[in-house]
Amino acid sequence: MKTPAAIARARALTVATIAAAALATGGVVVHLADDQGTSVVAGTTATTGTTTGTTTTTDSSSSTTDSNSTNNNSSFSGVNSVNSNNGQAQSATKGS
Amino acid sequence: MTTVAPPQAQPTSTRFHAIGTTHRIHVTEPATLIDATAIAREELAQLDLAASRFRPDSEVSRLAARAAYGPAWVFASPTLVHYLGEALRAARLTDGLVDPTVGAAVAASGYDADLLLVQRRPAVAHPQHVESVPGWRRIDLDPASRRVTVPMGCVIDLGASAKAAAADRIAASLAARFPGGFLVNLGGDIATAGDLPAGGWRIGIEAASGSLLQVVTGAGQAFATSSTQKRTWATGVSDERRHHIVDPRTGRTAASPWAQVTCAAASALEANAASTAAIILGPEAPDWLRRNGIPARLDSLDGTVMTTPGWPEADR
Repeated sequence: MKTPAAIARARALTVATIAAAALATGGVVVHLADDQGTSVVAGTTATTGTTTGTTTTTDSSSSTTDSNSTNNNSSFSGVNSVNSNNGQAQSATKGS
Repeated sequence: MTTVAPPQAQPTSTRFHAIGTTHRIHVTEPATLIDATAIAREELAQLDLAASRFRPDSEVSRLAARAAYGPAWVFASPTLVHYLGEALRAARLTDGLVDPTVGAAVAASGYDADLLLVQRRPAVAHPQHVESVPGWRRIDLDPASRRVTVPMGCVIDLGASAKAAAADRIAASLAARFPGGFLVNLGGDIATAGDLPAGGWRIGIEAASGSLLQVVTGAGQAFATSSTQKRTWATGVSDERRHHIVDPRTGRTAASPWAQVTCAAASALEANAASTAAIILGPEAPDWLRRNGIPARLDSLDGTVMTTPGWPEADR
C-alpha cells in the first residue's frame, strides 16, 4: 500500500504533467475538488492540438466506478407480465 | 432471489422532498425505515451535487460552463460517472430518443431554472429560439479513469434518467444491507428489491390531476410514468404550453398525442427510458413498445387508453 506521502507525490507529479501537457497544446487546466474530497483536474480541450494523453493516473482509492456504468446492453431486459390488483395502492407511479 | 415476506409483514413508509419533487420509501421491516430513508436522502443529495442543471456548483454546470468555449473534459466523481453511464444506457436502449445532451435545448424551450420559477415568470419572457442537440454519441465517458469529454456547447441533462437510476441504485443498496423488502418511489419512478409483501406491491397509476387510474401488482417489476401534463409552462405565444420532454431529433418540446405513458420493465431506468421514448414517438409508440416487450399503458390526450401485451386491461 502506498503511503499518504507517496500518494501526494504521485498526485502532484500527475497534476504537473497534465498542466504542462495542456498548456503546451493551448488548453486550460483548472484544479478542483470533487465530492469525494479527492483532487480533480479539469480542462478545456485545445482546438488546435491533441491534449493530455497522460491523464489516466487517478488515485485508485477513489476510482470506485459502479459496474452498472459500463453496462453496454442496447436492448431491454425481459420482464414479467403485470397483473391487475383490486386493492388499495400502496404507492403510485405518476409523471413528474 | 425474491422471496415473500411473512404474511403479518405490513409495509410501512415515509415521504420526503428532494431534488424538486416528493419521494416515498416503503419497507416490509419497519425497523429499517429510518436507515433506509437516510440512505435514500444521501444518495439524492449526492446526485443533486453531481447533476443538477440549476446549481452552478454542480459538476454538470461546471462542465457546461467550460464547454461553452470548446470541447471540454473533466475527471468526474463516481456519482456522476454512474448516472451519466446510466443516461447513456437509456440512450442506447432508445436509439437516442432519450438523450442526455438535450440540456441546452430544454433550457432554450424555457425550462432553464427550477420549475416553480419557470412557471411563475411572465410568459413573454420565455425564449422562442431552438437549440440543436449535440447527440449522446458525442459524449465520451471512460469509467475506468472517470474522464468525461463533451463537445462544444453541450449541456448534460440527466433529468430524463437520473431519478429512475437512483431508484434502482437505492433499492438494490437497501436490499443488500437490510432484511426485508423495499419499494423506492422517487417522484413516480418505482424500483423494488428484496422480499415482496404478501400479495406483492400494490402500484397505483396516477393521472396528472392526482386521480387514480388503475392499480396493478408489482412482483419484481419496476414502473415509470412520463407525462406531457406535468412540468408544463406557458410560452406567451397564443395558448401554447410546453412541457419538459424535448425531442432530441428536433430540439423542440415533443408533440405527442399522449397525456402520459406508464411502462413496466426490469429496472426503473428501463421503464423510464421506455415511457419517455413513447411520449416522443407519439403514434408510433404502441408498436415500438410491443417490439421491445414493454408492458405499458398509454393514456391519450382525448381520454382513450391503449395497453400493450403484458399490461392488464384498463377499466378506462
